[in-house]
Amino acid sequence: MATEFKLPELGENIESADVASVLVKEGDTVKKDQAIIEIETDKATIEVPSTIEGTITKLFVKSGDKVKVGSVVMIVDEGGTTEVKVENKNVAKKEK
Amino acid sequence: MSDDIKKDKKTEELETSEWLYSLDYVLQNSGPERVVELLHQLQIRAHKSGVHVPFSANTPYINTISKEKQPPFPGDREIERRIKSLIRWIAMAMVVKANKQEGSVGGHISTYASAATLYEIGFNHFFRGKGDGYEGDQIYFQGHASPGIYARAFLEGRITKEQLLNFRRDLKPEGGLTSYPHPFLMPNFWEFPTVSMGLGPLMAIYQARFNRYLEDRGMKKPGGKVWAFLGDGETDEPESLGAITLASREKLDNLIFVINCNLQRLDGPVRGNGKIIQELEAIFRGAGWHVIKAIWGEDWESLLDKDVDGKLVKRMGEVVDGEYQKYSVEGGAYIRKNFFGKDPDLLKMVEKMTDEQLFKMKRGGHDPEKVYAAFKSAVDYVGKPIVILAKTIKGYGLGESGEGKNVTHQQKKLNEDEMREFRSRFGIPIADEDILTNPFYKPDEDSQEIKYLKERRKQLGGFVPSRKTDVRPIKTPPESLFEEFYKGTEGREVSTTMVFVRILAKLLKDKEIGKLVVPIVPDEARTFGMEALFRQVGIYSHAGQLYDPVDKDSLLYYKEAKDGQILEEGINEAGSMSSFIAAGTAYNTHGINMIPFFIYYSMFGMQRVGDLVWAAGDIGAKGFMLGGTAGRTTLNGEGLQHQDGHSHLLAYPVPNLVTYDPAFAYELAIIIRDGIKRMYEDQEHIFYYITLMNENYAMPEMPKGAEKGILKGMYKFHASDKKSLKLKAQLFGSGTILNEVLKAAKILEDDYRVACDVWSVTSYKELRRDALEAERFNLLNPTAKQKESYIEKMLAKEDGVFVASSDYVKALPDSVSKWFPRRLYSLGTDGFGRSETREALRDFFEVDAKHIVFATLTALFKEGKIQDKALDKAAKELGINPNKRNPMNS
Repeated sequence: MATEFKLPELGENIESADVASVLVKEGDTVKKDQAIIEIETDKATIEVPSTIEGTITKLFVKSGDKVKVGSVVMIVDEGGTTEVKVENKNVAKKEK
Repeated sequence: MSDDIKKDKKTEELETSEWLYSLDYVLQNSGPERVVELLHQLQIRAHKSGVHVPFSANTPYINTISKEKQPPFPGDREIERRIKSLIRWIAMAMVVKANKQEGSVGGHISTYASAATLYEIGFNHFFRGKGDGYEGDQIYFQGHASPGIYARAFLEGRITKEQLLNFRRDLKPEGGLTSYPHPFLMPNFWEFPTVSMGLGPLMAIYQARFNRYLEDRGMKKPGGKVWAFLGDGETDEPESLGAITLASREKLDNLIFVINCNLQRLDGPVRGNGKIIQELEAIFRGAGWHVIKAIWGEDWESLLDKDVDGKLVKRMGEVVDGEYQKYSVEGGAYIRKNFFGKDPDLLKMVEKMTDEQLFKMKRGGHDPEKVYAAFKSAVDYVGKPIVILAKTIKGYGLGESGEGKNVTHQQKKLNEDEMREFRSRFGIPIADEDILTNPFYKPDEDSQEIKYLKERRKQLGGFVPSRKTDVRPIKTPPESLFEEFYKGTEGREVSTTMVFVRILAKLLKDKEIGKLVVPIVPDEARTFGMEALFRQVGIYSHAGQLYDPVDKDSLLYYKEAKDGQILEEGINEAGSMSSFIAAGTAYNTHGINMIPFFIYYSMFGMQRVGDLVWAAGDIGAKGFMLGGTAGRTTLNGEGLQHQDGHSHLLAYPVPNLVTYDPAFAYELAIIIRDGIKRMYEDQEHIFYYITLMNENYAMPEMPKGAEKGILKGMYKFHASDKKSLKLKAQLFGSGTILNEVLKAAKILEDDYRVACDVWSVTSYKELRRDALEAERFNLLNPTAKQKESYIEKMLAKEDGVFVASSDYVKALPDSVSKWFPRRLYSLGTDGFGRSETREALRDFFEVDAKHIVFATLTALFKEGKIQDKALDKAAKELGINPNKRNPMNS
């Protein structure tokens, strides 16, 4: 089954963050709590851990993107056959 | 009296006796716990019905442990008395001899004299050494009692007679004894510096908490007590009592305070018009400590047995300390008349006692059995920190020459007659003719006293105090961990604070040293962007997390855990610094190389907890202090009290504190890696102060070969490629102001045809120490090959004028200016801070690019390189106002 992994609530008053680096690629197997991306707010760099396990079938972010809380970061195949289509509308390009 | 009132009175008496009978019945049948529960229920019922029970945190002015509850004394009273007498004598003789020498060096007799029984009971029955199978106790000896601790170590064979003669003579080649506990000067003996007063108890609380932290994280076996010995006068220092609620909140039953209540401080009584023991009892009970009072000795307790109507307890409670002090001076007749004479029944109580017997009745702190009972009860107590309030007499045993007098604290010279009297009172086998010349009597090794004393210490795990460092060096994390910082951020704007937090997060993940890292923060973790660490390693809490945090659903939620790694200290720099010291000395205390990173608002470090920083230097604490939100103009908006432009100057005097003010990510990474190597791999006894800033900018790549200069304090960041320009300047910048210097260099080259080399100065203190080393060598060895300082070596061939700028006071560059080949012009931020934008602040303090440009042009003008007209033109172009108010005094 394919599952969306969305950027979780980071903390109070944080609505979006810049992607500093992407630590995985499509086709990788991820484990629970494994760091997926590093994001930067105006004060801190934060590693975002995965909450699911499986194979990454699609990755929607790259370094330099600005991502909003709740937007889809990746799709992970947790096993099984059902396919889920995802539109990742929340990911905006980094503002210049 | 009317019949009605009489009847009411009778009813009341009947009612009272019924209630008392009920209480006795419950006590007999259900025990004291049931009595407490019933009284608690009664209190609730009364409160609900609007009856307000007056608050009192005090118990009567008698011993907490009643005679009936006193455990049997396990030692040999007579041998212990003889040992104690010898120690009293040697301690006194040591101080007296030190003051008979040429150049009197001072010393204190009276504190130990009053505390001898407290210490001896500890040494013979309680203090645990670090022998096989023992965790060992940490004992904070009261600094002024050090002569007694040395005297005992002499009997134990750990200190020589020559050392006793060299008390307070640290520089004697054969070895001296430090005035007070100073681990820096006696690293194999003293463990904890306890003067300056107030710091000992504060550090002890955090030591006990840190022990718990290590136990909860599985890094240390449970066990061991922390003892803090302090004086009653010392409790007036806010540091002494300021953190006592932490101890009760954390249920630190591994912590025992022993307060020697001799009722006197340096100038006079601690509480002449009150009662310090009752005051302290109320404070500690109110704060949730278990309080044990040892006020009266055996003789007084025998009188209390006769006190059926409570008149003696009442009298004990109403006499003020100033009067008790007088009893210790005036003798038995005075006590009979003024203490017992207030009531005929009390007088009758002592009618068969002589005046001498009255005078000799001991206070609790001088009665070994009372002290033993108090200590035993303290070590067995579970669930709360414990304080023992022991009543003593200052200068006990000094007799006429100083017992209980207002000048007793200063007493350091006894004449021969007084020494003879002391000798006789304590039965020291020394002949009259040896009293002055050879007073340091020590019984033979096979004497009862020495055998007993050594056997007791053997049973308790070895000698204390004693410090033996037994720790393996750790391996510095590999370069690869830091390499990303050497590359720069490729245009991404970050602050050095963010860089630090990233370094810290990586260190915490390191397999080798991650578990040794101790992040310490006084309630500013979010300010510094550290909230991601909450989840990564957790906030330490002995209780775990008993609630569902409000932000549980977010990634960076407030996570408390029993094995949490972060010490979140609340708004409390003194406590945080004490935690830093406990963690930074774990290599000694527990044989573990803990690496504390204490990050805080830089303004609230050196000037707020400077005394603790000094103590950290003395004790040999290792680790990193990180002054965040640093820089007078870099921290914008916060204003006068927050903007730090001088902590680096305040760090100058601490000899083993290495300081840096880095500008870029790679500088910070190089400094931290080298710091870990120097402190934990090379085992140098140093610690670090590094300032961090909150201004975001792109971090450049490290120039080739910069590493050595970063660590030495200065390196050339940028060499001008404008070879054709005739005018030249060497510009120096530190921290964020280096960016202003770079901007100024560009303006100077583009608009004023001045070629500029730019230097990053990472540490004026390191530069100065290096230069002072060379200068001192040259002064002492004028005919030898003269040494060159690093500054001289680096600048010997550099052309042009020198201009230095930083976000700190001008005294920093001025402190190294004499080693520059030509005059150094300093720009800095002298003066009170202001709430403003960075731009406005840098204009106000004259450290922005335009002021650096103008200072450089002025320097060139002074050197005769440019004309005054060019200078006037530049002033207009740059918008320099020569009549601007001076930030230093406005």
